[in-house]
Amino acid sequence: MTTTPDVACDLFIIGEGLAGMSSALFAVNRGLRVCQVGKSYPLGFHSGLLDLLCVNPAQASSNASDPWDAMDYLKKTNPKHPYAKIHKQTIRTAFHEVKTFLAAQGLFYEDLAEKNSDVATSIGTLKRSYMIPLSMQASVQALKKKWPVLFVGVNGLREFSATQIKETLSGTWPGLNAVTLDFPFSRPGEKTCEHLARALDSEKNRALFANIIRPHLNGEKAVGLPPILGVHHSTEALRDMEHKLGIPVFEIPCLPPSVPGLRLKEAFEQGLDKKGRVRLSNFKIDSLSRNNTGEFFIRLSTDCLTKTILAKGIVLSSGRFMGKGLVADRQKIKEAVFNFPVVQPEGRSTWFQKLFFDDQGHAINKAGIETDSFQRPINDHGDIIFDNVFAAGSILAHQDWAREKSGSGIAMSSGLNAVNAFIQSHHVFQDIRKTGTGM
Amino acid sequence: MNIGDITMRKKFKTQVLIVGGGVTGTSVLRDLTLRGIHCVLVESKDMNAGASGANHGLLHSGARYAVSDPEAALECRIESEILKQTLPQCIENTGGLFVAVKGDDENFIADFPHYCSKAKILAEKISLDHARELEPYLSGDIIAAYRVNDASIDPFGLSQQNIKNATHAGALVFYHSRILSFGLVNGNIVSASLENNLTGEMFNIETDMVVNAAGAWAAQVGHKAGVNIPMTYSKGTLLVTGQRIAHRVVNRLRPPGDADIIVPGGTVSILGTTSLRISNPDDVCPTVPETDMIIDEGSKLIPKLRTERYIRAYAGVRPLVGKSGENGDRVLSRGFSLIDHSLDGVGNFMTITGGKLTTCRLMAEKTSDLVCVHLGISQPCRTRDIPLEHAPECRWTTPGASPKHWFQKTDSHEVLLCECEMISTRIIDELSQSMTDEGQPFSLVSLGLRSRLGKGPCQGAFCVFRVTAHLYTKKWLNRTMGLCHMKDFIQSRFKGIRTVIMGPTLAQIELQEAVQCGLFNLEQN
Ligand SMILES: Cc1cc2nc3c(=O)[nH]c(=O)nc-3n(C[C@H](O)[C@H](O)[C@H](O)COP(=O)(O)OP(=O)(O)OC[C@H]3O[C@@H](n4cnc5c(N)ncnc54)[C@H](O)[C@@H]3O)c2cc1C
Repeated sequence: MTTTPDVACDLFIIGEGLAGMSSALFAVNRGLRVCQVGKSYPLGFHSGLLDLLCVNPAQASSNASDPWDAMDYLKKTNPKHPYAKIHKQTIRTAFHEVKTFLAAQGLFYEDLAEKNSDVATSIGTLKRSYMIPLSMQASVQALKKKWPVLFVGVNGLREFSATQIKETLSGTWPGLNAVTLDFPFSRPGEKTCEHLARALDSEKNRALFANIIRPHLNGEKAVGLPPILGVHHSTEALRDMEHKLGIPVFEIPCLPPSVPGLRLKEAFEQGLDKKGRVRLSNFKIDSLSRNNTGEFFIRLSTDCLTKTILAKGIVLSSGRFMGKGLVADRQKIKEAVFNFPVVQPEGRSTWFQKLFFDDQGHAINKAGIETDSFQRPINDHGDIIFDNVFAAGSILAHQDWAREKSGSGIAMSSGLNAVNAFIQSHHVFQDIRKTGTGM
Repeated sequence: MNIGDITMRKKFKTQVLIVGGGVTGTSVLRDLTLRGIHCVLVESKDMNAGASGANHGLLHSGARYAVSDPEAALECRIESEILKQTLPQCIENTGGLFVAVKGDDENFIADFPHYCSKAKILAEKISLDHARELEPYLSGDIIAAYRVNDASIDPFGLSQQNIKNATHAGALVFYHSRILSFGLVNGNIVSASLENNLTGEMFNIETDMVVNAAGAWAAQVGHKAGVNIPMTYSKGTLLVTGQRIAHRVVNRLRPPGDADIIVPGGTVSILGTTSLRISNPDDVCPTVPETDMIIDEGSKLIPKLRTERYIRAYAGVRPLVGKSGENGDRVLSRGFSLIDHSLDGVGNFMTITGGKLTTCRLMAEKTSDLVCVHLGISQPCRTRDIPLEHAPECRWTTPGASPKHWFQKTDSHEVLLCECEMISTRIIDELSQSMTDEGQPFSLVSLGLRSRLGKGPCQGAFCVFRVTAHLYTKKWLNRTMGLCHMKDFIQSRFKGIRTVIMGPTLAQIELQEAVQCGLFNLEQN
């Protein structure tokens, strides 16, 4: 390990999903030097809703309105669940810190009295979540108070049918209306939410769009739109549309690629850059070795560049199969970077239930990395593998986030738990004192 | 049931009632209709819900049976030549290879060309280098290669066109309609009472004759008429690759065995099959050990199959009439059985089962001939010469048809709903209209049977939402109907992909679950 690294950092973060991004945030906020690597585009798939917990698969039919109560029950019935290893206060802090950070980037989120809230989705189902982006907050009110709403679709926007939402919800929600319009000055044919959202970053286009919506309003108290209200100026776009139409406007979450997810991604990228995080996007890890003081020496490359990094600790937030944190052949699941042991079901025959929508969920979803209560991966005997490597996010075992609606909460709170644990370990403490960059 | 019920029931009257909407039943429907005989076809599920929707799609040249079953081989040769003339729109005339690898039976290899020539089946010996030139992914271990006239056929297009042609001429078709009982008078069936599985509606059909073309379920239908048909069943599993592996049909040159045929189907290849004795033809699905075995065995012929991405697995059931022979199920299953049940005491009832997709026209001809004898009608079979007219709405199951349409489209408002298979709004509208015109119950699953919806690499994970959105906007769906349709469709696709979820497919399923459960909460709706 005699080579001088290109970058020396405290924490090296693997992954650019919500767990990686929020870990990076918590680390830079605490004065750590952070280097982050990732290559996929995971936040682009994020719905924009920050879930905490709604469902405990042990009582499949329940759909908790109080996530904190649900969590107490979860800890009892599934003591190995990631939440069971994290203090509630840490979870609260994680949500709060992310919310404050996003607000500073102009992206506003709110939890409503620390409870879960329902919003309508683009297929007319209800989605329960915890921290709701500003652009969807009127949706919660509208649903709760059964306001008459006009849903507006756009011709060529294939994943969104205003009629579908209206028809599917009408049985329990009277006074709904739907209309599908041609987007102003656009050619016929396919549209994507992202294209429309970029167009609506401009006030001129919003005025045109509002003009064609207005004649269809007939006493409704709110307007529901696909998630297209701007990318970089979404708050302004929302307020402006509400002003132009004279009633509350909200976005309806829809199939990815998702604009609310894109906003999250851009907010994190810009905010973290300002805070001095070193980002090595699209690099891949070629090798990783640990010296006798426990520091990691990491070689990374792209097609034409190589970089070397010396890191005092690592957060492994590389996701599951989509993020390539986990990989599998025909029989076995492996962890891709360290080859950490993966808790997993017996063999492929037991990975999935026969029914896709089985209440119990699929066994493979609970496969992943098992950690101690400091997010450090442990082996089959329960011993930690490295004292300075921490796992966070969906790669963790014993959770089924898609069914539990716990993905964002696990990502952020395990990220904070990991960063806190790292700081408590003495390597770093000394370093922070020496360089005096503490918070 | 009270008398009021009976008088309220809808009644239909026909000359021939055909039970079973697979390739055999629909071919009988067309044959009899061409002879001017009025028919009603009833199917308990949907078109090609049985073996006809769960096979290789191989239009056999006959070479495969040349050694084991020369009679069936000859039938295949003649029938495949006829279908290439009368149904070119559903056939890709790929040609085929028979290839042996190290360790395969030398005697069989030596006999093969001899038996083929006896049945006038083309089997041209080619050099190993030439074989690898034609099919670059062939194993380095091949020891013999022959070129044959195999082709690939779209069984959905075949059945759909049989049905369209017949219904245009006045025949009636009822899907999702189950026979509850037959009414017998003096040893003849005079009527059938049926129930629509979706609506619960009951109705009656009066008929002069009944043709049982219920495939593996023929014994169950026979039972309702008090006739015993001894049957056993053999399950076959098939895998679909994510891309087309070979241009031609590739057969292993050995006695028919497991996983020894790879058939191209448009942009994919279909690998199989297996033969497992089962006692009940219902609810068969592939298992993980079966899919593993097929991959291991198939990769001996084409090594790339070991690491290939598989998008789907499915299983079909071969009916075996009579007691199983000593040579195993594969040998028994090929020939067809036409049983005249007069001998069993029901005068106007017959069963046609077994056989092959390749010989369905011949099976229909023989059956219809027998029907004519019973009805005292002397009308010759005309399906040898008259091409199946190409009804436009029947073309969407054939690989390549949707992309071709897309690139020639003229309406700029038309958009693609499924990118993998290039299915556009126009195709969905056309099929929805056609099903509504026929009075068929409408669902995403039935749209899938009549197009390539959900058959591409993403298996419908995304297009199911786009298609549903479109159907609502165009008012084909209303209220909460879409939720059930989406869930049924997603489950029908999942059933196919469950055993081949491995490697990179896990990422696709994870995304699917993130959207369908994580965002849409569909599991709770
Ligand atoms: C795995 C496998 C691979 C094959 N590969 C090939 C191949 O490559 N080439 C080839 O030529 N042949 C192949 N075959 C054979 C071919 O698929 C069959 O011969 C053909 O599909 C049989 O058609 P069918 O209409 O007789 O039966 P089916 O398609 O099974 O039709 C019977 C129908 O009857 C319906 N039914 C059942 N009970 C009732 C009832 N009570 N009332 C109303 N309807 C009822 C069923 O729902 C079903 O739709 C294969 C078969 C299998 C199983």
